[in-house]
Amino acid sequence: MDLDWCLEKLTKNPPEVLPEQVVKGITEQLKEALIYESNVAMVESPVSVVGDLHGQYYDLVELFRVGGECPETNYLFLGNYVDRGFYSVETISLLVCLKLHYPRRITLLRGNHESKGVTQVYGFYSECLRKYGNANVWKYFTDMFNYLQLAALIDEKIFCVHGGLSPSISSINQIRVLDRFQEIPPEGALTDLVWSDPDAVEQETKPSPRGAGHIFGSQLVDKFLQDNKINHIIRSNQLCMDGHQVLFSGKLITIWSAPNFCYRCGNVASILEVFKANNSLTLKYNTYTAAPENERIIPSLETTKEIPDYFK
Amino acid sequence: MKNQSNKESVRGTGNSAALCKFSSVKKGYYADPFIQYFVKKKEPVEPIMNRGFYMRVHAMDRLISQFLNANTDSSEGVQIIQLGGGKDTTFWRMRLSGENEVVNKLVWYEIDFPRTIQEKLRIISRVPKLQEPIVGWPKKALKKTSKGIELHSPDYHLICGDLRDTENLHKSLQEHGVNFEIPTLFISECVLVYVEPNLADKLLSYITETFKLPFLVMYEPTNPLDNFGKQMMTNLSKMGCPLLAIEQYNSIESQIKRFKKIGFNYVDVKNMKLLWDTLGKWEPENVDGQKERNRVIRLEWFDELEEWNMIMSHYFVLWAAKNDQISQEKFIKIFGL
Repeated sequence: MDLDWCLEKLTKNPPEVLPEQVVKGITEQLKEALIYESNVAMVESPVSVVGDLHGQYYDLVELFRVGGECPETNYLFLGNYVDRGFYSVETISLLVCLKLHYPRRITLLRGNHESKGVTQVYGFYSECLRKYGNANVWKYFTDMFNYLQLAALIDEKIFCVHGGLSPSISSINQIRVLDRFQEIPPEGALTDLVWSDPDAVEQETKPSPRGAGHIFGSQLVDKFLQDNKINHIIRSNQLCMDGHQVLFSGKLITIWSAPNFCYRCGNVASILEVFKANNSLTLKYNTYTAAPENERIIPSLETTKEIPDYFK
Repeated sequence: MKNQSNKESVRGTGNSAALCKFSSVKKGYYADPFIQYFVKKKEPVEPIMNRGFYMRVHAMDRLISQFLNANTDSSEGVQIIQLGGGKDTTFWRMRLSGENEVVNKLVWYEIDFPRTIQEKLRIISRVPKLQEPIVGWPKKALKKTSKGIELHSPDYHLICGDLRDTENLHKSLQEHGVNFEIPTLFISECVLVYVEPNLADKLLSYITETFKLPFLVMYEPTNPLDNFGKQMMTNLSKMGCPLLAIEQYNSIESQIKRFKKIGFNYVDVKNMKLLWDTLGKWEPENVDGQKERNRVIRLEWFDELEEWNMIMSHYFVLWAAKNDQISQEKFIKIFGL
């Protein structure tokens, strides 16, 4: 597998999608590498944490420009690489190739959109069909999604996950023994990790209005931090107009990395640098706006729908 | 720099609305056996659009019901004049539910661009189910005019017109038997916002000056000033359907002032986000509101919560009436909120 060739194609402007057989090859290779990895990735600082990308390829390019290219900068991605944006295929292809090429420099966690069911509703499936003429590439990627790790620990002090906490999980060891090699189920611990959201006000853990996962409050956060001897939770899943949001006096951070989300929301994006300064872990936000108009190409879509859409 | 308003793009918003309504119906949000006939390329849209259009139709339906129920005592009946309704199916839905029978008589008018009216008539002529409630179809109902074929049956009129041309609009309404004395509801569902504000106001003034008992329901976007609003302005401008009236009337407060200045004595406005948050509380008494809310939430995954709150807070429904004889209490509150 010539990864340099793949990366060259994917970093052109506009990017070129990889041939179907090559996608089959890289996803098989990544599955083989991930099968031996724990559900919880152990990551060392310095590392930059990245939230939802949602197929916004040009903004990923912008992110690398702002945060530093991989492999010179270490990255931890919190999932949701696909759906909603126009370039889910190019985005996930690029990240898979980077992961294969620099396995110790980049960690890819699973988000709630790394799912066969969700990608059929929110755009990745249609995009694969449009770009490849069949659903094979969608199947290769979504089979590979079942192998992505669920959480990460930075320097054993910062817990990172896509969604949030679960009422059925009090210890990180419980996450380690889950069977992650499956489609995200409708409910349960695995589901909660990728679908849940914190609530600044709510104390009780309740079912989430998203239709999966839970809403959790400061009580569960405090207990989780205490029982697992960690200091912070970093997660994504929720759009933040300012690119990030801090809750519970800094104990929980939401990071969002898709600027002007869906070309509609007018938000900025952030990545979070975690590094040691004077022997203590320091957090620094890097905030950026969408890639300039003249540096992106909006594809014409053979669809009746106008993107972005409003109640016209 | 704003892009020019492109008539075809503005007309096209009607097709976009029809597609979203079809998708919402197909997903089970609400019932409309007629919308399928008005959509060519049937594709599902995102959950946020399904739910958004459900709320739009639900809110407008409630306001139309409110108008009918407030005027059951009108001996000569009522009129509904839909401005730029596009491929809307409320005429048929109402006859299916029998709601038109709460008043003594209901005459329904639609005014839209000639091309839209021709398209609508072409579809009706292919679908017997759509023809059924149209008295005199086709020979006595279809009429050739200088603007195109129009429909003129005793209780359903499709008129070719341009909302920017109030003089000719008045002539058409007069010619086709509009009664300026009886309660008349004007519906503007995401329409007037695409018109230059002075021309939109001219039409609204025409309504209060010419009709004795006018009512109006309007659904529109608002608040172009925050980041989401600014992006909305840019995007819609690029699509050729800029929101021409929104900068002059950029808030709910300014819309209320506008309608009062034009001559409507009762004006009330509700933000769509508020209506969603209170869904279940403004159902008619015989409907279990909480059950309805739970039903809607369970229809599909909804991963766009933050976006949903944002987009819904940029739309409102407005209810206006000019009526000196009816008490303020009867009109000032809509949705019981």
